[in-house]
Formats: sequence, C-alpha cells, structure tokens
Amino acid sequence: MAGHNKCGVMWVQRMLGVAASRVRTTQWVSALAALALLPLVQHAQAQDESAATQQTPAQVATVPVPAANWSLALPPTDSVRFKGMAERDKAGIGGAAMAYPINTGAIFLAAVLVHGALNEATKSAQKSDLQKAADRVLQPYEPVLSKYTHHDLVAALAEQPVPAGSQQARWHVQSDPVFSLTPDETAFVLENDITVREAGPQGVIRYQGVVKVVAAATPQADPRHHWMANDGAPLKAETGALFLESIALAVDSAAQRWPTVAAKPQTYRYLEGTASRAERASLVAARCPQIVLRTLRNTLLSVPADSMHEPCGGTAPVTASASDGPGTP
Amino acid sequence: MKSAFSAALVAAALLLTGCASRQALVPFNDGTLASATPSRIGVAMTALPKPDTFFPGANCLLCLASASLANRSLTQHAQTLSSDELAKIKQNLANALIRKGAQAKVIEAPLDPGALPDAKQSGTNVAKKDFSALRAAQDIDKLLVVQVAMVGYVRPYASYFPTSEPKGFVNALGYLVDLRTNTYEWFQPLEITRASDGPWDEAPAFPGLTNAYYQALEASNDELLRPFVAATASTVSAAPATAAPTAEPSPPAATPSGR
Repeated sequence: MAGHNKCGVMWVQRMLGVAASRVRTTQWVSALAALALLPLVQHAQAQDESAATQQTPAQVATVPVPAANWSLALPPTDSVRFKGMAERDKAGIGGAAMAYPINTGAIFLAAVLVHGALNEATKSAQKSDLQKAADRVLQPYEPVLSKYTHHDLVAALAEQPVPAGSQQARWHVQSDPVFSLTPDETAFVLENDITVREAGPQGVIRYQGVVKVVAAATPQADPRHHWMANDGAPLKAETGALFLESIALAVDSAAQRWPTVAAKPQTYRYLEGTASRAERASLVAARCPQIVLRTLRNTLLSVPADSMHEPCGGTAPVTASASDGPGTP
Repeated sequence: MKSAFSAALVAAALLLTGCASRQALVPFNDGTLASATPSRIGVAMTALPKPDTFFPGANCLLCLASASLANRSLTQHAQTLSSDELAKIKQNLANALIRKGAQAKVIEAPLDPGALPDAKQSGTNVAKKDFSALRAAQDIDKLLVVQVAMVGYVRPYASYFPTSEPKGFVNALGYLVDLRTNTYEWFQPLEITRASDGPWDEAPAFPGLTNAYYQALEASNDELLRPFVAATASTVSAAPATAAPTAEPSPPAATPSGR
C-alpha cells in the first residue's frame, strides 16, 4: 500500500515536472509576481478608474469648430492600441485520455487537480502565444504606431467632437478603440467599445457595446508601403475614418434612427482583407460604402459592401420584421 | 516462446493495420468530367443529423458524464439550432457541376448508403457499398454524395478537463462515385471548426458560439465546393461581381446567404 502511495506521489511529482517544463519559467514567475502584486495592481486600477472618471472632461478633445453633437472621452492610455488577428479556430491543446493513479482517493484527487492545473496553464500559454504570433504583423509598423496617440486620432477626424458640457453636446461618447490589421496587411478592423449617454450629469445610457467596423481592403499592391507612406498618413486617415464611422453608428443607434426590432438573422458574407468571413446577423442599414449589420450579440458590425449586387445608394433603414429565426439571441 | 512472440506480432500488426482499410483521399480531377458526351451526375445528400454537442477525449464513463453535465446548457442550446442551411450544398454542387459542363441533377430524397448492398468487388478506390443500382434508377452515370455525420459544437477533452473552448463544428464526407465501375473519383473527408469571436460562455443564447456554428456551416459549404469551382474561378472573377451565388468559396462581400 505504501508502495502504491509512493507510486502515486511520484506520478503527481512527474506531472508537476511536466507542467513546469511545458509552461515557461518566466510564466510561473510572472504568475507568482502577479499574485503578489495583485493588491497593488487593483489599487492602481481603482486610482486609474477614479482618475478617468474625474478627468473625463479634460480628456475630451476640444476643437473650436464643432460640427458634431457629441463629446468624446477616450481611455487614459495615450497610445492607440493595435493588435494582430489571432487564428483561434485551430486553438486547443489536443485531447488524450489520462490514466490517473487510483490507489487512494487523496492521490487520485491530487492527480486530477495537477492535471487540471497543467491543462489550464497550457491553454493559457497557447492563447498568449497565438496572440503574440498574430501581433508580429504589426512589427514593421512600429515606427508609426509607437507615436500614434489618441490625440492624433481625434485631431484627424473629419467631424470633430464638441467639448463636454457645451450646449451643442447632446450625447457623451465614451470610447475604447482597438484596431487590428488583417494578416495580409490590406485592411484595418476596429473594435470600439462604446457607451453613448445622453449629455448631462445624469445622462441615461442609450447605447453600450462593441461597434466593429471592417474597412475595405486597399487595392495597393504593396499595402505596407502604402500605409507607411508620408509618416503613416494613410494609416492614420484610414483608422480615423473607421473610428468616426464607429461613433456615428453608436450615436445613430442611441438616437434610435434604426429599427429596434431586428430582422430575422441570416448569414452574411463579407471580406476582411482578402479573407472571406461570415456573420449571422440582421441587416440594419446601407451606409455606402459600408453595410451595417446587427450581430447576435446585439452589437453593430459595419462591413464593406463594395461588391454588393443590390444598389447601395441609400441610408434609409431596411424594413425590419420580427425576428423568429434560429440563432436569435 | 518464439511462436507466441510471432503470434503477438501478427496480432499487433492486424490491430495496427486495421486503419489501412480506410478509404484514402481521392482528389478531384477536372478530366473526370471531360468526355464526348456530358456526364450525367446526380447530387445527393444523406439525411442531415440534428445539431448536438461532442466531447472527444472524454473517454471514460465518468469523464463523459462530467463533460455532459458541465456543458448541459450548451447541449440544450445546440439542440435548438437548425442544420437546414447545409441542405443548400446539394444545389450549389449541382450548379458548380453544370458550370463545368456536366448534366447535373439534384436527387431530392435523402440517400441512405447503409441500406445499399455491399460491393461484390474490392480494390483501390472501389466503394464498399454497391451504388450501381442507382445508375438505372436515377438515369445517371455518376453520383456525388455529401454525407454529414456530425454538426453542432465540439469541445475536446483530456479525461475530465476540456482542452479547448467549444467550437462550431461540422464533420462531413464528400464523394463522387462512377456508377459504371463503382469507384470513387473524388473522396474528401471534412472537419470544420470555428471558434467564437470573443467570449463563448454566454448562456442561454450563446450568441458568439451560434455565430461560430453558422460560420462552420458556411465554411463546410465552401470546402465541399472548392474542388468544383477552383478551375472556373478565373471565369467567375472576370464577370461582374454578383451577390446571388453565395455558394462560391470566395464569395462577394456582405452577401446574405440564408435566403
């Protein structure tokens, strides 16, 4: 019996060894450091959030000639966030049967717990590796992106926000934009986490959620050269246009310019860069050259409509009907 | 002792080569359709399975029970989905074959290969079932079959623990049988998985996973069509972009395909 117990303990030790070898030492150290620093981090985050709340008016871009009726608050971090598009369809660490030592209940339980911990650590490491691999597409753009701030993003907008608290401000928009570049480098995609409140101290939230805008792929033969030309001016113009489109969509939604009852969801096909994508969604509006869809999460998705067979000339909302199809959230 | 060792070796060899009888991939060759008279091809599908959840790797009874319990709400959700959109593959394949010059027709009734008699002969790329009776019954020379085995969500396990988040899933098989020789002219197993964009655990509606499910249906349609549209892609892209034929692997932008 003692021999069995020893065998089980050795199994657990071996699994821990495997865990240690699979998960990099730096990750263990990072995890331990993170645990140790958690209270400090939480304190700092609380301070950041408090500062963000207090500083909101100061962060709103103030431009003397307002054309919009919305004020804007961006996250306190100054640089615009970019990421690569991680391919998660094949993610997973494979399934294999595990033989647990069952000589005693305690050893069995320890073995199961070690297996579970190892499993989670490996999945987490893989997720991180996938994102790092995807982010490599941005390395050549680092000279421009490292200097690209939220201030630059807002300053270049064709339609400028108004100062918070001004008479023209009907909406207050809180925005947290994250841009992605497609693996083929032909198109940018924006995922903007937006909250639109009615202006005023007790403004009611009228829209909350991610607005995703997919740009049409650039026809340029060398997209990298195109985006980086003139100190990244085309890149900034493109991302600025996506940002403005996302806010316009959220404000339109807050103003209830579109039907609240979504049409029956269908599968829509569009291009993200040169890759084909599908989305189960309801058609909301044609805002040429984009088509606006409402996703199953009830968020907005704007995709390029450049090869739509149907005319894409109006901005009138599509007539909606009750949603009764499968996949309705 | 020596004979026991030899017997064990033979047994092991038999066991290990059990997989060797599985049909190998047969790539589609455009020349298959080239003849003086157009090939008459029937396009059939087996009955579509109901969407469900699958947990490969949860092999022990307790593991499977644990996985089923942990994913109960996902299973309930999967069973509310429809796999009807896969049925359009039949018509899309027939259209693609017609564009290649074949005389294709859709066989509406679901095909049940299990009900067909076993083939009398065996050999390279010879089908195990005897499809030849369909030649006279359907007035066709070849039969293209899409057999969807599993559809829904897959979540691989290693015993008690999931090794991946759930994903939209289609497991299917496509094959083209020459009914004169009962041999495969195309044989393509297919396994499509699509991850949720963002978080997946959004019970009870699981919008992210529902989207991934429909993405998997679209991707399986694309993959099954790929051999039959690849050669004609240049012709299609030379034409003005259209929204209607959503069956193409490289579809036009923002095209609804659920209509």
